[in-house]
Amino acid sequence: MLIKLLFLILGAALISELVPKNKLPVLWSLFSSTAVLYFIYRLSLIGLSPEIYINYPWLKIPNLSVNLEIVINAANIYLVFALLLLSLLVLIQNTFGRETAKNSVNGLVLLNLLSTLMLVFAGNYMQMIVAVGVCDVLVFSSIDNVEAKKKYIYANFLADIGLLSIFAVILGQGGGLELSELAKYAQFGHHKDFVAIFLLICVFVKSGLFLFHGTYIGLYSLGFNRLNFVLYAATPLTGYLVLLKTESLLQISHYSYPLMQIFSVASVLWGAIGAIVIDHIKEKAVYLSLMFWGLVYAYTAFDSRLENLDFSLLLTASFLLSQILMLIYTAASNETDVSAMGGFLKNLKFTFVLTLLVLMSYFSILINLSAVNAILAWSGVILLLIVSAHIFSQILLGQSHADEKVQAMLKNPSLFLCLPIAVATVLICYYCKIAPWMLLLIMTGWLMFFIIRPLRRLDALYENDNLQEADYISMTYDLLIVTPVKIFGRLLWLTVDFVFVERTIINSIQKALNFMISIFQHLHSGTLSAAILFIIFGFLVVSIVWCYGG
Amino acid sequence: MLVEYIAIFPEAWLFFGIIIMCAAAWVNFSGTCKTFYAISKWSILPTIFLTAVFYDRNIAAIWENNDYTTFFKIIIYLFSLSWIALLNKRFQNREKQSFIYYVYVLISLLCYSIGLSSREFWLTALAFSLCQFLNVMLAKIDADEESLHRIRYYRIFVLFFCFLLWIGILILYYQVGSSNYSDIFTFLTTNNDFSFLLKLSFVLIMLFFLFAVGVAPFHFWFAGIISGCIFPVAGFLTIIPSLGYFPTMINLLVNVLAPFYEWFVPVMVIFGVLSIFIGAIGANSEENLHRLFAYAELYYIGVFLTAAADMQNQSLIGTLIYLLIYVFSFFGIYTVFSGCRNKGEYVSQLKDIRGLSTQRPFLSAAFLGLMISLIGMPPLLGFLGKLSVVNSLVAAHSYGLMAIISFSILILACAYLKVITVIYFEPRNINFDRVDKNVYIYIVINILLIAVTILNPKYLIHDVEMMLAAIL
Amino acid sequence: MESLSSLVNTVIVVPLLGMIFAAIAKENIKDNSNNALDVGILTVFANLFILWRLALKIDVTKDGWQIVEKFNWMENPKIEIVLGIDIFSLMLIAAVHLAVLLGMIGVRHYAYRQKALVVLSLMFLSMINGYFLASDFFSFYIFFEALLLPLFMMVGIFGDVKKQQILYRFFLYNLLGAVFLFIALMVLYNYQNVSIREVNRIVLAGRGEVLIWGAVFIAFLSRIPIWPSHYWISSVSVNISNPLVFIIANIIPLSGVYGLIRFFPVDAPEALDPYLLILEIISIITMLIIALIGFSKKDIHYKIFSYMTVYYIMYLLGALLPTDALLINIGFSFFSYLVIVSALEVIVAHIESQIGENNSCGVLYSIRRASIIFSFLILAAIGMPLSSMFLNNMVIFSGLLKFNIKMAVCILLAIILTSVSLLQQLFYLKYPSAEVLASPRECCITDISLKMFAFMLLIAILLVLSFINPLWFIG
Repeated sequence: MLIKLLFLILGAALISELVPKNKLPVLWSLFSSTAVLYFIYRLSLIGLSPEIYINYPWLKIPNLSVNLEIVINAANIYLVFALLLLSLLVLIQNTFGRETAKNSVNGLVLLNLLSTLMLVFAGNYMQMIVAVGVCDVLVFSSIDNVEAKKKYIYANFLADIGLLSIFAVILGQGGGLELSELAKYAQFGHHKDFVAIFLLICVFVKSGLFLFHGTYIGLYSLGFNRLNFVLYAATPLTGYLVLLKTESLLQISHYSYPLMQIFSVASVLWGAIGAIVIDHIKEKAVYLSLMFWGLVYAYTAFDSRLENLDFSLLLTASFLLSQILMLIYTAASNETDVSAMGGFLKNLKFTFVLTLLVLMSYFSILINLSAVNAILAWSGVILLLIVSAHIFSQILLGQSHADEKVQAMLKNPSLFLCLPIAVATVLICYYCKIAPWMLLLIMTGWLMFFIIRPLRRLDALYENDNLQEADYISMTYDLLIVTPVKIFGRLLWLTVDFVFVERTIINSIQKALNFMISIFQHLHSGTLSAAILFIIFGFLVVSIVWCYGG
Repeated sequence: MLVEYIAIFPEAWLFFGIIIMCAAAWVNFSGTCKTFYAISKWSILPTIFLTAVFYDRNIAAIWENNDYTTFFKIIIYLFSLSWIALLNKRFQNREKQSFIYYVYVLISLLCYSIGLSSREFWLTALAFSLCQFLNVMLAKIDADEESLHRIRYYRIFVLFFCFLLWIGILILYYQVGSSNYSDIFTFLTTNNDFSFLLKLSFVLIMLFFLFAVGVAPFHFWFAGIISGCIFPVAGFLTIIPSLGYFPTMINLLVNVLAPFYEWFVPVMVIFGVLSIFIGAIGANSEENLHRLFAYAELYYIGVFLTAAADMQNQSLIGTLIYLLIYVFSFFGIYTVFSGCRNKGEYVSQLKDIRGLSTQRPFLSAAFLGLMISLIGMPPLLGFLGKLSVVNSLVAAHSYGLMAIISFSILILACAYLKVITVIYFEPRNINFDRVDKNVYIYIVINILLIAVTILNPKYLIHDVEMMLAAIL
Repeated sequence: MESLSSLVNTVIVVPLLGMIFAAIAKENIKDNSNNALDVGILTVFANLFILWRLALKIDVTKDGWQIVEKFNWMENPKIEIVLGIDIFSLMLIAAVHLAVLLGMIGVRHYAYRQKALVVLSLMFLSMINGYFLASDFFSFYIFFEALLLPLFMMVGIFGDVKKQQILYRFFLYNLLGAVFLFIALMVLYNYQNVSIREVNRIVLAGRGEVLIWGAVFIAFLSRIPIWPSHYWISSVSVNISNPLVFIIANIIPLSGVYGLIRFFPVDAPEALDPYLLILEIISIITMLIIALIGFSKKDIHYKIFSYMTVYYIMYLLGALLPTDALLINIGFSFFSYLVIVSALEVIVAHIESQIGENNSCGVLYSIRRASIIFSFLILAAIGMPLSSMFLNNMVIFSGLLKFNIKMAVCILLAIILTSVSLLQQLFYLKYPSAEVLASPRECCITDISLKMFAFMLLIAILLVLSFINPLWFIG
């Protein structure tokens, strides 16, 4: 059954890719959404504790025998549901929202769903790496902005190569392909620190944690729905999934957990700061995702791994929050700057209610997580409270800076866009046990922040063009890595190729041959004396051989 | 007794042909160009047939026909016949010139034939001395003033080296008491203690042969003469003499002067290596095609000399295979040259064949194939020669010489590349005349023979082995 | 199996026959007929079919030559030409055929001396087939050197090499390598006449061992763009605009790598160890230098050359590891690698023919079909999971990392640099800069034809199939 469902998704994806990009988009999007919905329905029929294990021998070449594994059990069922749900939401938003090349995007979303599912199912690291790679290619194809594409592919290509190298090291040292065997690497493996640290850096890059977040900041030019898809259902998620699957490798080095702690905390903080000070609404969404991924990584870093259900809920909630920003962005006629919004509450009451709902579900999940790690959970709650209250307050309550046209057009997005979010929020609320008193307290605090806006002075930073437009990370990479490499390459060409090979080696040989030719021409002047000289030389050779050799 | 003299019947027929030609010339010069060619043809063709028929007939101890001599004689006749057939149109309306050319060629052939079969030193010396003077005479045909000047020098050296040859033979005769090969060989094998004079005679004889073949450092005349003479003569002098002198020299060194020879091996090697380098560098320095290929020939002669220096069975097999292949390829190259004419004149400068491939692709392809073959590149025939020579050197543990021969070809290859580049990669600046169909026929035959030989070289090798068995 | 043995030599003979037919094909420049080219394409397809038949009979799990054919060529010296095939050779032959096929499709609109181009490329194909099938010393050498003639002619006629000196150097340098091989083989042959797989049975004395193996190494390295020989190979490569010629010129390093793979015994003489280390160091330095230069240069031909070189050297280093286990992975990876590079070159040549001397920035923006194919190929080239390069390269890396992690890291660095260079080029060609957008091109840029697009899609599918299963064609 499962195989059939996967093929259904594949079929829907291929159809979406093959039909003209903008022909009957609603129909094809609905078709894709139905396929995913059907998948969810069929999966829900088998319950929450299924035991499906399919092992298909994929590749049998010398040195490499890889099986394709499809495993659904209690440990991953929620994640599968979450992925399906996220994809469904993206597809529905795509159906009714504003997006270019909808059919193509639908296809990519479905293909990405398949590859991410294969990553979730992976029992060996070959399947895992392939799934990650395929996901990268798909996301790369779905990004329709050149600069964003560049940043994305450079970073993720490097991360993929890094992952490939790490597992090549493990494979070379006789480690099996099974992920479950990785724990034994501590016993037989070499270069443990290298493997662990390199692995961490690769997943950081993929998830776009602090210092590597530039990859995703550049995505602000994408359509909002596409952006949300990339931020929550694609590459950063694959990074985290890789981390989950290879966590046993981190234990082989003493540096891995401290490193992860530093990066995750920095990501959360940087995400929070970014979400507050950056004006661009999509960039805010990216910083919110950075905060989210930082938080998720922090749980692993502080040895309090998130359960399958918790992570799925958190992921969905975070995605929904980003979708809310998208709704506001749509309602505001695609206005990108938060500073150009304000006072939207009277026109977006329903959206505000939806926002509260989403935030309540988000906070509820975090409160539930306090059982796992209270400090992290409460830090998350406080940061989210401050950041979200600040952002929504600016948009909904703040002084209006919107131009007249935006103001005139301002209204709640269509029901087709809002309803799926509402349903998903309800679903979350259903799955997480809401602690009403605690939630009430937090929501009161949020509303206070929302109304008072204690960080309103930071609004001035929106006017600071240097801050808003600066891309310090990219500049640093460019300055420290790219430019020196280019200069070095040019220097090498000049010295090694031109000066040494061309001017020295080749010229010397050429000159030697010319020298021999000139000697030859001098000797072969055609005169009698030259001929006599040759004869004498011949006689001399014979005489010498006669005297000494003969 | 008289029946023995049937062994010289082929040579007698050739001689008869010469007489007929002289008679024809004496009777009437005008309109006889074709007649001279026909007489030449009908002199050589039966000679080939007769040579094959009387391939094992001897005249006591003075004349010996065997597989070895017959093989080389037939090759010489065949190439000469092909060559004169290919270029007979060159002498249209040039009756006197054509008579001189054909008659000298026929006399030369007679001399080479005598030199190859003779078992008497005086006869050999006579034949080859005459050959040398005939070379001078041939070179003078239609030569310009500058060439005539060079030919004058050449004549002096021919005289000098012929003189050395005769002195050597006289000393030998004086010491041994006979000029017969068998007597000399018997004498030398029974007397291990060689006098100074005997050694000197050997040296003088060898110097003549080395000069005649054009080995460095006695090579100075060759390129100069070739570049100055008319095309039919240049081709003849490039291809035929080495087929006469070289086998005779081998025969002498193996069957007559062998006891002397051992100390002379270093000289052969030194001269051989010198020829290789001078030939390779010389070819690079030239813009004149005749001279370029003359130096290339010097390279190959150097290879023969180096490879055959020890005069052992394996080396000789390798060398003779190489010799045959080289001659074959050179004949092909000169055949292609014969197809390259501009306003009736054969081209001789490198610049004249620029862009040949655009107008004469078939000729160019043949040229290319032959030159690449001469570099020794597989799967062409030249590789077979290189393989034979290098294998024999490795078998004899002469690794140094093997390396010299193998690497020096790179220098020569530069010169060939220059020619190929001019033909293929440069724009054409002249119009080439219509090519005689004979040229195509010869090239096709040449290519077919090359193809057959490269696909199944066993026959060639077997023939060379059989031929060598006759003298070893 | 006996009945199939004749197919082995057929693989060599068919291109030769095709060559003859192409040479006598009627060429009419006025009506732009491609008779010779059609013959060439048909010949390649015919040979691919024969290869497929051969592949069906090969036992993938078995090591060594599987279908062997012998010809007694000479008696003195005793030389037997032995031809055989295994899965590694088969993959390489198939890859080269596809590469040449791509090249031929790419030159469909090149009118300049097309017949000569086809004739020479078929000659080359025949020779390289022979090289991959050769299993004795002499046939190995014969085909090794014989490759040079068609190559030289093609580069000379179609290579746009401005300085003839560069052409000479290229040829002479390769010829020098062939001379080294010849000498080494002659010596080895005189020691013991064995097949190339048993070459390690020959025991040479002391210095002889180093000299002869050194000569073998130099011979094969002369074909690979390892410092300093990379210079004249690159000089030739960057000047070639004809895609077929470029592809063929860049297949030549394969002959060097293949030679080393076949000749280098796993249990190489110990005396060679220090030299091997030096070779490895030089190889890695070369990789890095070329990768850096490629990164800094703007010329796409140089970038492709740099990419090819880095990968060739990586395969070489993989082959030099003291294990034969990686051989088949190298073969599988090679297959995709050659096909990808060839297809890339065909697209690049199309772009260059369209823009002439103009700025190529963002040219793919207006030609969608070419853009799709180009993007796919670049992604496959940099090692995304789109071809058999992905998994097999990982296995090769694992081998390299196992034996020398520092060396492997340098290789990785070089690979990353060249891959990033290719990506740079993709972005450069695909997305027009603001200036270009502001001043649109005057010339009209034509996309690749629908037929070509379909063919390229087939190639892309082939690559993806090779990713799913490198031996898909035999089930």
